[in-house]
Amino acid sequence: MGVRKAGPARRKTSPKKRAPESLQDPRLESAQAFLSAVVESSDDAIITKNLEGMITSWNRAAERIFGYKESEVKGKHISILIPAERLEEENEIISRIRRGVRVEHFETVRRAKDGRLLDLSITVSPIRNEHGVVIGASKIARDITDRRVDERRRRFLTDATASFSLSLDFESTVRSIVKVTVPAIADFSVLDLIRPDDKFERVSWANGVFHRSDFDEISRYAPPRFSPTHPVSRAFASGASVLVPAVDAEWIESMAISPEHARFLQRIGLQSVLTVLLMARGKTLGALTLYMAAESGRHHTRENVMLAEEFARRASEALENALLYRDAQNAVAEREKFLSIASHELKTPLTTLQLQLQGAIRMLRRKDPGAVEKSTALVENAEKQGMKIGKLVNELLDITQITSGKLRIQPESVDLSELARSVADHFSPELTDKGIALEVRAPEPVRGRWDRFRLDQVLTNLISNAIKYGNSKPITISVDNAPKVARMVVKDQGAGMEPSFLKRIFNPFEQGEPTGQHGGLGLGLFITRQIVESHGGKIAVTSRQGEGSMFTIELPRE
Amino acid sequence: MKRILIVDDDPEITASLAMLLKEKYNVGIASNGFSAIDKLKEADYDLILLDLLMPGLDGAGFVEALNERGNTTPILLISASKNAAEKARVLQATDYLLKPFLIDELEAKIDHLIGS
Repeated sequence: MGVRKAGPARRKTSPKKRAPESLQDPRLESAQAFLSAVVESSDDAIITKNLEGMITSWNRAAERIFGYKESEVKGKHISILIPAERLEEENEIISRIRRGVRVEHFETVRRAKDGRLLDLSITVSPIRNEHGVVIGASKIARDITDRRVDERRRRFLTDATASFSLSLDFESTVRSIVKVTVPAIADFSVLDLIRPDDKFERVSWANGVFHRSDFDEISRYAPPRFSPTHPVSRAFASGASVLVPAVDAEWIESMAISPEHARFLQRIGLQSVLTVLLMARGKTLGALTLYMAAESGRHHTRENVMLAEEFARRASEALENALLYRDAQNAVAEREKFLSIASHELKTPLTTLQLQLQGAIRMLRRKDPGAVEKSTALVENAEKQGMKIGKLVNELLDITQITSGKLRIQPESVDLSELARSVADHFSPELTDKGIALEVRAPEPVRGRWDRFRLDQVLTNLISNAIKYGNSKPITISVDNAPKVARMVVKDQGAGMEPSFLKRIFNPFEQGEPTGQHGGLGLGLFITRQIVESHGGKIAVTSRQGEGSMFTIELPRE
Repeated sequence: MKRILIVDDDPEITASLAMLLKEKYNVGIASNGFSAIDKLKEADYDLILLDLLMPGLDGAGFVEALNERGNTTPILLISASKNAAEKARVLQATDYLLKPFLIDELEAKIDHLIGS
């Protein structure tokens, strides 16, 4: 229905002051024909009634608005149009009319033939006979249901936007997105967001009709990422809203993700579904699904789609802000955790270094017997602590480069077999010292274009770990040419790792148990993986408790 | 000679501390809370130097275990953690010292707590 304009021209042509029976004169007859035509073509209902409230005429618009034919209502009392709780209004109107007073633009509610309630603006004027005596009333009723609906919608959108601006917090934003839709545009609603792993997560839901315990199982039914029938999957696939005006059992059967999901939807009496997408800067963040249930008997219509889409635009903005805010908060928390671990780990060797230097200074000052030998040993040890600190600082710099995406690979021609032998050589003093055997099996050159310095770091890391956790048992490094890739395997026969820990070892800040025994930031394997992946390669690990661990790296040979 | 128990999981730190303190004190070493409890069963100590972050039973758990037994031995927390002061207050430790520290600083605190 279009928006009707109130025009002064139409107002002028309203029937007035003359009762039809007084029109006898032919000139007046043609005037009356003209008036009748105007009345019949009016968009507003024009009704006349006598002072007893009996309907005496009824135009075409009245038929359209109220649904009664003129023949059905002529001679009937006007109260057939008035809802019971508003019958008092008619007495008031009639008493004013008797006094010759007009009732103008009175906004009220009337009932149509089919029982629908109508928002109307009515103007009632007295009709007088030729002697000026009031003998009845003409009533012009304008259907303002659309205007009322528009007002309600505007208020809904304004309220929704206001509730979003209350918080930047992710949890409260998703909660308020679903909450404000109920009951305004849904009996219950659910928000599904797409996660970085490309799966839907049911983040929030709200309902206005069911008991919580009857409803909360909805959280279990996250939509499938791909499905030809589920409205959320369909909306994602098509990039547009999905409207199912009337749901039937067959439809529920086809879209349900499990028999219990279908039973749930049947039980709550699902009637109608509308899914709208939440998008920000060209990216689809998730979908809001608005459900109507048998409880309210409401169904979604085309008009709801536009309103829901407008709502989704506002919700998307709020959601995106909340997501950005959450990311920023996580980044800050991550950085704080990192700084706290980093400073703790740097302070440990620094404490030792200082104690050793202070001890050496004391001995030298006091000129103790054997002070030079003893303090030399202390200073040598202090130097090792200095090296350890240097290594930690380098790890910190690497991690800074990795997290800011600046880890650059400088490829050159490298023979991995030769590199493995040379890195192993660096460890020979430590290996001899600890009595550990290290075998390098690299029978042939394995060449490719890689970053020599970074691969040296990878090998150093893996060998250090094998020494740390290898229970002093033999370690082997094998390098060979596999189809298309260069393969390097570092294997120890130490304690091995628990399956639960194995999943996390390439994450930052993870360390073999017991914690603290080996120092370091727990960044070694994280950095190793980043380096391998920056080369377009892969790193994998297999481990058995009590039998040892095996790290396999594959690098593209191109 | 008064007796000091050093509880820290870093062997380099315990070795360096022991080297410096053994001139004036009788020093025992434990690498975590559990082994510290064992040490305390073997002998009495006048002071405990305690790290917080340790595998097994950590510093906080160790102090709680001691407090339950009605501990009276003064405890000096030695930690790299920036909230060591707060930890010391919560655990009712006698005092705390932040890593890294000067040996003179440590000796002054020990002297203040138990004398030499």
